[in-house]
Amino acid sequence: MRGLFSDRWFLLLILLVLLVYFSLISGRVATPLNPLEWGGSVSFVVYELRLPRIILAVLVGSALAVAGAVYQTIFRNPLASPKILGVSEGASTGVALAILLFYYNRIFIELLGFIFGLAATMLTLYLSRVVKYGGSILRLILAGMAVSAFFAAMIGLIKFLADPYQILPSITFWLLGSLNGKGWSDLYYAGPLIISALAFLTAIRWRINVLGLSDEEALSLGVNPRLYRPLTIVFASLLVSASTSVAGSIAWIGLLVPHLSRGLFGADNRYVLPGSALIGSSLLLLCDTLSRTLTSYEIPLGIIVSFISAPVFIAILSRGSMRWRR
Amino acid sequence: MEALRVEKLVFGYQPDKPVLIDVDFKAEYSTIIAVLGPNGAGKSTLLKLLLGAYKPWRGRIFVEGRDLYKIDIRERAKIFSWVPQESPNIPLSVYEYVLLGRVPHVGFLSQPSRSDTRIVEAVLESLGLKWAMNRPIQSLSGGEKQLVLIAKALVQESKIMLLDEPTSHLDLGNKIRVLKTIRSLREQGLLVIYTTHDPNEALLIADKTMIIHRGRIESFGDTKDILDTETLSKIYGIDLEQIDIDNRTYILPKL
Repeated sequence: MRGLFSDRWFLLLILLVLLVYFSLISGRVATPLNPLEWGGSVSFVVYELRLPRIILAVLVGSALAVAGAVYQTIFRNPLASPKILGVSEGASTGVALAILLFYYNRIFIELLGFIFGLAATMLTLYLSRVVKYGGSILRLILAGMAVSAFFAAMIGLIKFLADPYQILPSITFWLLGSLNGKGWSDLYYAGPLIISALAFLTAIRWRINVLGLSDEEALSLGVNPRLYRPLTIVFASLLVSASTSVAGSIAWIGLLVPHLSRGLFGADNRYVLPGSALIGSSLLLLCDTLSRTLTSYEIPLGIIVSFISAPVFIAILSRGSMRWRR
Repeated sequence: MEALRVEKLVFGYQPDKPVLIDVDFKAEYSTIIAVLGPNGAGKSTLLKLLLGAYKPWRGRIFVEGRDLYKIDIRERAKIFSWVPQESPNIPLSVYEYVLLGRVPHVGFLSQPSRSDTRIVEAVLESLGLKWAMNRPIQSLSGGEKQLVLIAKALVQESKIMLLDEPTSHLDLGNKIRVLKTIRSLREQGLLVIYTTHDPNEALLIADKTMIIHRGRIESFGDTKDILDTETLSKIYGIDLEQIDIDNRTYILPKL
């Protein structure tokens, strides 16, 4: 049986711890390898700049990966990702709108991003009841496509209206995804949201398997799909909204990481969810550390993530180990 | 003891188009009931109503005297188990899938325990599926998949099992294996209600047979009394003949 402390889990955990340490000591300010020698300005850089950013990367990485795993199960679709319900487009619209209206008031940006992300989810859930085509899952996907397209158009409109010298670059840069300049204050806002949603989804992770079955089968197991599917979707979308509002739009993690996790642990969400959280946090932390150390000018995180993820995705597909036969 | 009582059930998916009309019957435990009828007669709909997937327009369903629609969903899952027509298209292994049958017995925020996994192992053993435990469901043959679906319903430890055309996609060997498994459920005290297209299959294992035609129960009673060529010829619109050999009855079509 796959115990929680078998080799693979242990290795993933060690990997994450090593990455955290590696990230703490890397950067433009030279940092001694021994933590006991961190003092003065180094201590400020490590604890006030790098540490909160590392924690954010870990949280955002797990949030996107776990949300992706949940979506893929519920939609019975290996290609489902946080984009499927229009959540990330919704959150991005909120962020862009806040930058347009309030320029650089961090609180408004994150709050509006979060609210718009959740609003997009609610809109999709509502519209899926209006659509009269296909089964309950297809309806959600169709509604999600429409909502996604609507918010993508909104982003386009906001960009069109924005001042091209100051606001537009700032919107574009934010939407590329970055943790540049994020610190404890962002963590105090996004941290509790992400941690509580992760805790809830982790607690019900075994039941999430049932939500991937047909409505009748779920019902026969005592799980009302009309109640628990939307509830679970709302929690997953909460993860995406909180992440997008703080780190911008980061693609791929939610699509790729659940596949890596399934490759290691099989398809049962009891293992896929914690596995996705560990792999997602390591991957995002690695990418963020690279983004702030590779060149003297910070490369947006979203770009690095896509550069690394695209070949990995093809590599998994070519090995044929994607556990999802259609 | 009376396990199930259905009173004057009326239901349809669209207004003014009833699929089931005045369905009325009683059933006891340790019984196998075959539900027979042409395509679109309302067989599957009847099973889904028993499952509680839809609310009837009129009429009531009682389980051991309790109104089904007043029992909460999780409690219902301990009374009825459901074997869908086809296995779900998900990448779970046989073991992981069958374990989901324990969901109604495990608390909302809890994970399955040792005793749950032991039940799953015992059921897989008894159905001869232990070798397939760690295989993905999709890699199994049609007959094995059907047994896996039954295994999941069995670990649910319900008293009534509903099966939707469990043998329709199977070759002869697998069909008989599944029928033997269904027959063993009667010995375990279950009430089994399953839909089928084959009258000879009903004659082989069913204690009682219900013939549904255009949403109404055409006849219901002991299989041998119910299945006559006259009724079946009428509802299917073809000529049939009955052949008795060695105390066994067969119903065959005439071309």
